[in-house]
Amino acid sequence: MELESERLRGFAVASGVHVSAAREKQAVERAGVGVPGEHDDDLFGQGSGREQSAAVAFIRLFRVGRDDDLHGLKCAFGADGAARGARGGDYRDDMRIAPRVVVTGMGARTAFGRGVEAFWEGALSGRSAIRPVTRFDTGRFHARHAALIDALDEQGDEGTERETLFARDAAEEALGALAALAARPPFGGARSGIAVGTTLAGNGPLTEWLASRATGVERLSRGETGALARNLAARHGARGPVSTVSVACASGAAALGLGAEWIRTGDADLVLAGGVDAISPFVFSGFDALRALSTTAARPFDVARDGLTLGEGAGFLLLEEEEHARRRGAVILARVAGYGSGSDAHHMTRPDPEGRGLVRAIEAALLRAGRTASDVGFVSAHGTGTTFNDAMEEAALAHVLGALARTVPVNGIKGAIGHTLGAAGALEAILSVLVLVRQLVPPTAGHAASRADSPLAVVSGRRLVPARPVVVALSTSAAFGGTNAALVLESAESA
Amino acid sequence: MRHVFLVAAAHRTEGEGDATEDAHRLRRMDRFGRAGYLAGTRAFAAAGRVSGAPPHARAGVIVGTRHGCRSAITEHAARLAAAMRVEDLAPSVFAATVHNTVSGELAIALGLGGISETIVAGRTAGLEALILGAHRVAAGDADRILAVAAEGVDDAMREAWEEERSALGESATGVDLVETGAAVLLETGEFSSRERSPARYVSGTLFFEPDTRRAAARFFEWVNGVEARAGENARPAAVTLCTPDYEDFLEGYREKEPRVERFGAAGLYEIAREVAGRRAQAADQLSPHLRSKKIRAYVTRDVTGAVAAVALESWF
Repeated sequence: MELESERLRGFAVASGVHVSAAREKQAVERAGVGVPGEHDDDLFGQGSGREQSAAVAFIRLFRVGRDDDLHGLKCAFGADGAARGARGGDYRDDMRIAPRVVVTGMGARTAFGRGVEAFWEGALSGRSAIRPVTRFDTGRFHARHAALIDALDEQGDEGTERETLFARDAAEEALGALAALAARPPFGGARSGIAVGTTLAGNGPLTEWLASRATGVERLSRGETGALARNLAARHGARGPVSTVSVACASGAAALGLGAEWIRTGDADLVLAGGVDAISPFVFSGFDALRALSTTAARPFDVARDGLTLGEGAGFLLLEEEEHARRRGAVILARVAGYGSGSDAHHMTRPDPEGRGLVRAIEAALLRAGRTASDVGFVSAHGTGTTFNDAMEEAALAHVLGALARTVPVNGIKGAIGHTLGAAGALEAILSVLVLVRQLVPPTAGHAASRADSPLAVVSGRRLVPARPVVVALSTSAAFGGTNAALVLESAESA
Repeated sequence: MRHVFLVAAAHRTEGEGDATEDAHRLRRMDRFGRAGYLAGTRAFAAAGRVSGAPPHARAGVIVGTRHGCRSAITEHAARLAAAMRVEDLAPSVFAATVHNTVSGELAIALGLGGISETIVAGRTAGLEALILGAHRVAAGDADRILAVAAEGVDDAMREAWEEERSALGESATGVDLVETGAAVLLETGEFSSRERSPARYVSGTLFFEPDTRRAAARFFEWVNGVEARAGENARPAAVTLCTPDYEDFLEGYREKEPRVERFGAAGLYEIAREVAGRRAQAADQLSPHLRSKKIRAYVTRDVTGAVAAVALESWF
């Protein structure tokens, strides 16, 4: 009975319906004994429409004897996803099966170099790309280190901003998986969208202009955060939804959530989604003023951690509606099963010590994925290396995972590539996909020892071969303003 | 999917006088923050919802803006340019240089512990926030979402608008830039009902089409689809263009065209105005069962190519 309840909840969430406990019990009981359709009338005649729909969907799934997943549900109700009624025709318009979202391409630009492989090899090595900053003068600041991209060999127009170059680079790589196969449809057109996450993309020209104390009129186009997404859309011919999410350090994860939402609602088949940010004296000075920066290098979850280290880069994933990907023969890397957002509603810069906002985000993502905490086999943590954020995250993960927290491997990539701000959530999602595909967990650079009572199993020193196959990965993000985000990713073979 | 109702709304524009509520909290915000915060708290209060409640996982906030925290950014940049050492900077100013300050402040004040998103786009931002909020409620991710749009306008931005307006040509002549905050409270049918709510969310669309003619064609194709799904009892959809039509986007189809620039707050401002007005009249109206259904489409067009539109159903 418990298994059936779990399934029903998973179907209901993925289908966008809510099922009350009473309705769930009734549906499970009915399904379990295989009652014929004409006796479902009492079930149809009670409760709200969506509850009835979920109950009917569940019963019919059992009757047709299909797989216990959404494919089976889709088969039961027709390829268009509309639920067919037990009495023949369309049962409810609102019982639409939400499309599933898969990852079919990835691109990364980090301080480890260009490309996903450079990112992965760097992460696996346990090295840190954090170095003394030479690109700008840090003489006025307490901190001196960052993980910056020093060698820019991209060709940009004169004055092209660094984040634009990073984003173009990562986007090209993510789309490369598509373009390399001539038989496949190109990215672009009304069914292709772009979702960018960034904290302050575009503010470089504005702040440089202000710093130069130039005369003349300030231009509104300087510092327009949303311009980068539109530039990418123009470059790649996207004519579907195009937008930018800016929720500070959770922006990258939120952009993936937005892109997945467009596919789920049927507004797009392909979405290039990810995050990007570049480090400037503006950002460096601000975090230094907040005394949030480490004087050496970030050590996520380490007992001697003393702050975060900034990094820069970009990460983009090509999200695709699963059937669309299968039709064109794409290699499916992973599935974006759930996204959740939660607010601390506590303080604008200090995290809730108990991590309640992050707990809400994780629980929402798991619910959307139709998963439970016991399914989680890997955590790509936000892990900034600050005292308060890491403690908050420990509390949140311990709350959600319970005793399993001590066994689920955790990586904090910011010890290797720094805190890449708006790119962080996207790069950490890419890392999660790589863990799902390659079944290896990189060590957390900078982490030597956790405090004695830490509830987490932070992977330290050398790469880890997980004791059990990682089927579900959780990626967490937290931000100024109390915003938290969580992504649940599943292996491509999990369906 | 679940029905989504627009249960209450509020808006705030320049010239309304300084707010007296939450003075301490307002002092730490820039103009963008104040505009969004005041609109959001007022919409929440207009719906009779309780502020200061413990954070609730099923209630969230989504904000849309074009320029967001630009004022705070320029202030930190100016301080950095003058600073000899890091101690000359103001940490609180830097902390305000994230665009999600409005969503954070509203979450704290109103106990919105669930979804928290901020969309930074062009003139479509406010409607994007409404569309995303409605989708989240319809999908069951939340029961209550406060959709907010805000643009703060300081002197430098007003001066900069003069230049942007010139670049837009004759169609922009006389268009003034106005600081705006607007908010609409969205709830699922379990919390609200057609009888009590001024409007119901029907559909939304967002796309990027730089070619003006093609953009208009796609918009009307979407409107036709909305009308077809509305059924025989609905009147043909009326269209409200919420932004000045710098490109002759709708070529005379529009009922009226605002001659005010509100950037990303434009679309939500028009809807908030309508919803607030309807809510005020609601007590005088007949039962919805005796009235006819009307669909109204609200559309915003950004000159960079983005279009966002929302269709609402109301009863007359």
